[in-house]
Amino acid sequence: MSSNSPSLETDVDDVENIVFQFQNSSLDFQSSDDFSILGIDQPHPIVRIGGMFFRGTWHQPIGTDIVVPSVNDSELSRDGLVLCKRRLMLEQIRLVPKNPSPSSSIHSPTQGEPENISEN
Amino acid sequence: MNSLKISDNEYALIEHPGFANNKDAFFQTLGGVQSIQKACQTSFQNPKQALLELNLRPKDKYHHPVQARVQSRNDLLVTIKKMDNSVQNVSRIRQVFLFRDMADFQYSTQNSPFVQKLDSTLRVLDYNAINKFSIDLTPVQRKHVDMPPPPVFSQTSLPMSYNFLQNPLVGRVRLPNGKTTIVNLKGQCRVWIITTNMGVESVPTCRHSKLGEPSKTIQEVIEALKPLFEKRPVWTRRALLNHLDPSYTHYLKFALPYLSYLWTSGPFRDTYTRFGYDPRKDSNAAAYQALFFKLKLNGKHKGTKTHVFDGKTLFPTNRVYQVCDIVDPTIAPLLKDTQLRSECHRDTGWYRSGRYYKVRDLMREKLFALIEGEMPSEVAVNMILNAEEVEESDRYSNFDEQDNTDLNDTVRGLNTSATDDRINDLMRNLMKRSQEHEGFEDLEEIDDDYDDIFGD
Repeated sequence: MSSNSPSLETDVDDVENIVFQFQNSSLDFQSSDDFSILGIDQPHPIVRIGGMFFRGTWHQPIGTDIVVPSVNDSELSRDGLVLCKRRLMLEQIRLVPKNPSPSSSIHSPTQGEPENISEN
Repeated sequence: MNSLKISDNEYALIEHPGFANNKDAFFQTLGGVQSIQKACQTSFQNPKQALLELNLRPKDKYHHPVQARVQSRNDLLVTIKKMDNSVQNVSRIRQVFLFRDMADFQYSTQNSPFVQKLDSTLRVLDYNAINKFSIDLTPVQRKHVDMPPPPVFSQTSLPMSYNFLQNPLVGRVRLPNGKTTIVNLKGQCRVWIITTNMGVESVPTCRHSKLGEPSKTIQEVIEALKPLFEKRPVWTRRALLNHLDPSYTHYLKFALPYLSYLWTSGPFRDTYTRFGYDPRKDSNAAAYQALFFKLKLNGKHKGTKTHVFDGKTLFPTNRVYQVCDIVDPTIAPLLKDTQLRSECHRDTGWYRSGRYYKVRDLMREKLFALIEGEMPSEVAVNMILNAEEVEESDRYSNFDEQDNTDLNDTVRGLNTSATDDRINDLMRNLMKRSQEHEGFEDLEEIDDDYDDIFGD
């Protein structure tokens, strides 16, 4: 079960906002791309965006990152600004399957795709 | 794996160097929430117009803020539920505000009476309060000048990128004792040859104090050179090379400082002389005087590698000839059947100037002809041979050109009055310095390795 609500909830104790930054700034993904993350509490999470895979490394920035919505007709309140205290640096990686047999491919019941592994 | 779409929402990111312990005070350092929102909205429409300033003392009106610079980004903002680590929302970050400028100098106006008066009368925008403002025109000392600080102290906002780079030729070398030292890998080895000129009182009798013990190979070369220097105390490098085994060529210049010293000017210029032997005190050294010629050489000339001049064969790179190596049938008798000086002359050595310059002109005539690929002209040779030999006062020359030595002799011949004597002294001084300079230049032309000799 996943929530696809476009509205951003306030920064309360039950949610955490993280900035995902790409080392390759020329990457261009669309807003309709799929986003998945595996091992969010691991030192190096794996992130999938569309057909690209990334390996994350946690970073602690100096100070605090403030994330501000771009379009907002009404005035923002103090709680409308999002504060982020850590950052995940993403580096694009290439996934190679361990076994060439089709039985080893990962199959997710929540998606209609037969396999998730692709090579860039 | 939890998967969801990236939303259409776009955000701007501000990298703030502070911590949000107090949200109100935290946002006030950027001008408040309204200023932040306005700057971020402007960054999406016209990034160059976006203005955001970092002010760590918001209540200080005279604080100099740090300007933010806007850059485009393509990052993500991910909202994660802490309970189950599920992704709640993913949005894009398109602009980022960076504070990379250097902060301006800070100035405190807390103890400034003028600033306090200025704030209480003009800043409050009260019509009645303006009347209380006045400027004291009493002259004051410079160090007591009281006035508000300027808007900006320093116009340098970006730090200097001082890219220090070690000399790329420097490398680390491990010494035999296990320590590591830094040396210039391309630096030239010091040869520590002792140089001397005609003005010294006594010649060197032993090697340079900084010269270490020779290696095994250099010792072999030294042993091969000893009988040569015993038999003939003055040599040119070319002559030594022709008497040595070709495998010693590379080590010759390192072995010579152990046995000999080098003349840098005068009639023995560019010759290596055995320690303790002073050619200025032995008239037999007339046979070892050197003649130096500025030959205009090019790569086309070919010849046998010889230090002997026979009037027909030319080795293009040989510029220095010793008298004993001149076997030309026309020139050699002039050097043998002549009366020598009683003392060694500074410029012409043991030979009288008339004979000396005649021999030099003959050598030059023949060398230049051979360089051009022709045999020397008999008419020119006979003209030089039949010319009168003039001693020290003047000389007759077939050539129009006169070098410094000729001018020196000409000036010396005009010894008619005290004023002329003074002029002659000045001219001789000038010529002497010019010759010295000339000698150093020519040495560098002969061999590039000579640079380290003068580095002593």
